[in-house]
Amino acid sequence: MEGPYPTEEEVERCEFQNWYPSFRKCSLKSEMILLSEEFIEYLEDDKHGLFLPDPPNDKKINYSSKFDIDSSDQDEEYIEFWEKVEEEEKKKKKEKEKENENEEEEEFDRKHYCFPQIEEKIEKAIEKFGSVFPKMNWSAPKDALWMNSTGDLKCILPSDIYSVLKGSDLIVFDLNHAFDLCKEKSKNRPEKFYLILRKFYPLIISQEFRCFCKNDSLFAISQRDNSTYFTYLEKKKEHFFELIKKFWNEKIKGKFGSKNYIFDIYITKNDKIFLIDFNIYSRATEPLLFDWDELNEIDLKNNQENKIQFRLTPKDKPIKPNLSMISRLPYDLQEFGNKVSVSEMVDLIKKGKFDVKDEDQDKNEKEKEKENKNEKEKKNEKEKENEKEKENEKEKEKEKEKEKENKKENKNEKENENESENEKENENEIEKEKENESENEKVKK
Amino acid sequence: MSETKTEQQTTEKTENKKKEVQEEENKEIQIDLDKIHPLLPEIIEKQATINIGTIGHVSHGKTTVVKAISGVHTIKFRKELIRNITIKLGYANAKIYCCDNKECPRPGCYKSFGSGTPPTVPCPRKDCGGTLRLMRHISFTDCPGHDVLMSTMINGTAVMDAAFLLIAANEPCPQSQSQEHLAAVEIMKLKNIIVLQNKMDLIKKSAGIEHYEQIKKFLKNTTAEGSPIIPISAIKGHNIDVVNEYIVKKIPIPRRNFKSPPRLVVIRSFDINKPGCRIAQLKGGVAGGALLQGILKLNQEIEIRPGIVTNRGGKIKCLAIRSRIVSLRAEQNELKYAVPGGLIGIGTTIDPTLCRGDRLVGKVIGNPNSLPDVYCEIEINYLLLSRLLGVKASEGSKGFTEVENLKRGEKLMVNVGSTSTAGSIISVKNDLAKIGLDTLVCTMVGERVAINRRIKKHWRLIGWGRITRGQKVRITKLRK
Repeated sequence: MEGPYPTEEEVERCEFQNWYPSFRKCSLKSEMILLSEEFIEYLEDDKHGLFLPDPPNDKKINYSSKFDIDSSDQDEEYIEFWEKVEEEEKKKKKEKEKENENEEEEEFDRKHYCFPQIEEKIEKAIEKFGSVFPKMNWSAPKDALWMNSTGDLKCILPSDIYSVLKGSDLIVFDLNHAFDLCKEKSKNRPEKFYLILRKFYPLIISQEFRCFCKNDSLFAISQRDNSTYFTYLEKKKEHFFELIKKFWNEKIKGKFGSKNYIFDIYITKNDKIFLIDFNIYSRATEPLLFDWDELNEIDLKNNQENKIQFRLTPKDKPIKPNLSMISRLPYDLQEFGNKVSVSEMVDLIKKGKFDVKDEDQDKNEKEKEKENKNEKEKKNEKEKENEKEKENEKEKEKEKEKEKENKKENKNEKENENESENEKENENEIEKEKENESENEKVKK
Repeated sequence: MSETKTEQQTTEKTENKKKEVQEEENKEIQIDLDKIHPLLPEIIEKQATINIGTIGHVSHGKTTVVKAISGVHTIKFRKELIRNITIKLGYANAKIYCCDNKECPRPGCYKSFGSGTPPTVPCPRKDCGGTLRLMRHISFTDCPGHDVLMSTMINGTAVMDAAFLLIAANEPCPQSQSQEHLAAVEIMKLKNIIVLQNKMDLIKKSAGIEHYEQIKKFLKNTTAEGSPIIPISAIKGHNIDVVNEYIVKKIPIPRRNFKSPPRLVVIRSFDINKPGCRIAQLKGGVAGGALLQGILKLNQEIEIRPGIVTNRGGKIKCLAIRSRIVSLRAEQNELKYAVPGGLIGIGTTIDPTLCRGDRLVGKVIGNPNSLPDVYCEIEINYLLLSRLLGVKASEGSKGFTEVENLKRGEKLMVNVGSTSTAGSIISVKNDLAKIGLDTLVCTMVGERVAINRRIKKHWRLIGWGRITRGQKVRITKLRK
């Protein structure tokens, strides 16, 4: 990842518990709850999937019947079927309990968690505020809002909060990666983790803005929702610009500590500005309508206040999907074509004829799968054998060739020998002739 | 006194007239469904009716090809650094024209322009004198785009009518990604494929021919065998007219059922009002989405499901949202009625606060009382993968790759229809599972679902299922 690189100090300064006390008056009401190490362990524990902690006081989690059901249109068989299943499970449990001393509910090994103190504090905050917006030291689980029944982060129960915290990739950043942004780090995580419950307000997204500061100087402002155009904002731009500058001068400038920082604000319909959050000055923070390369290049030596760039989302005629929707897909499909083996998916879909099956059909299929596996294994073995054979053949061929070559060499040698013999013979003959000639000549004379 | 009476009478008359005019304007338009087809001039003038997916590696020139045809540069965004994905918004529309002058030689007689171009354009060929006439209006979607993929894999419907498979000529074929892209084609059950051999400007002719043969070999025995392969240079604009010709001649007119009850899946929703504006000036919420079937008409009554979820007296109730369509748009064109194709924007009379911040995403819009039921609990017949996709045995610890059985009390990500919700496993019996949904979903028996588990900090696909039964929720009717 390229720069800018924050220092560990800068990263820590952006933790809610570190900046909120100084900026309480211009921020939204919040409660901070210190989280136990066990709670952090719970957040990190996903060996077997996502599970809620056990409710305190032996309350049981009831999944059904919180919705207003159409009692006139109920499937009796459906209800009876699952009631039977429940009864069977209960019997099994009792039998197991008789056999063992342990009360193991599940067949697999899963650690159960329970947080009575934290839950009490959460419930107090919810009672105080009515509904809350959860976040941790740096991030809010905005990528998990599909998990909540309202489709936003309005939480009214502790279980709402647990779900979105556990299901969010942004929270993973807080837990494990915040200090990865630094060039050199001495730690992988902060000493303490907090759960922050902010009073939930139905904020109007078009009134949110992100402000960028370098050398404690405001130089860029971007509309927060960078995928939607609002007609009325054009007219309000100048006015908002003045409000934001004033707010920054009076409330933020010289008060945060870091030279470089990013903060988000909200403007109410009555022109009052609230500070929402401070963000780490690094590529991990979305530059929205700007680009990080651009932000890095902007030279502040000659920056005067009227050179602050204020960008609103431009008018884009067609409707397009919101990028945040990507979090509603599993990781495998997000990486589709890049890392995931699509051929596996294709096989599955080709196989999967999702008609309602009998158990027998299912057995047959499982057997078929086994057969296929066996066949595959056999094939593999055969292939291996084939390969071995091929190798053997190759070796044989090599040997044959060698022999051939040897033969050739022998031939050549012999030929050479023959030739040399012939040559010798010739030579001898020539010599003989010469001798004869010379003799003849002698005679003549 | 008599004066005021006549005054009153005249004001009454003008009032009545105003009402009449408004009523006329607000009347739902009548359409003869038998006359509707995807190439009807009055439709393709305004709206894309054929969906083409572009498949291929990013670096092989997908964006450039779409730009060359439509003139639109689909935007790149960089998402959260930790995940390091580059996501593209690949939606762009294009109109394909053909010159009506028979002397105008092919393929040059085929031209393409952006969605806002009028239906007739003078032919740019020197001394031609002919007119370019609108033949097709196409919507390009980057594939596999997440919503396209979800909807296809889950619904099993081919949202795409055809596909461009892009392969770069300056790289050996097949690359491993090409294999996967071909598999994507299989998944989407695409039959009409046009292979584009791109970047021809970067290689010699002989190399091009050799590469062409490589492609042919690669496609053999696959879905795409026998597909036309067009050598192009998107960046130089070479042979783009040939591509246009193939679009017109090779892609068959898609079959649409205009008579089915309309079903639009919402992908965006907004409140466009200035905060603090007077109630009288409030404009209703706006929703945008893909119309999967049927027709939506201006001024017609609509219902949105699931509607509003409220907590009243301990029980969570579902209130229907009813409204009227006050505007219909495709790209920058105003429509009187919309058919399936591309993305449609709907202006409504819905309370705008209900539409804020994409609140309606995943919900379904259609005719009142014709939409599927809303469920809070579903029973699925499911199949699990034996191991996680894309994770090789060498990566991570042993227990990681295997997919464990569904467990009671476990919270999963359930993708059903084109929405995602959290669901808790209430009970499991063999290959049936009962899932309590955290968010109400408008769906029906027979629809497919995808199941995902939170493992090692990611949501991972672990299996598929089909809805067999479920618990419906009562929808309380409420006029809005």
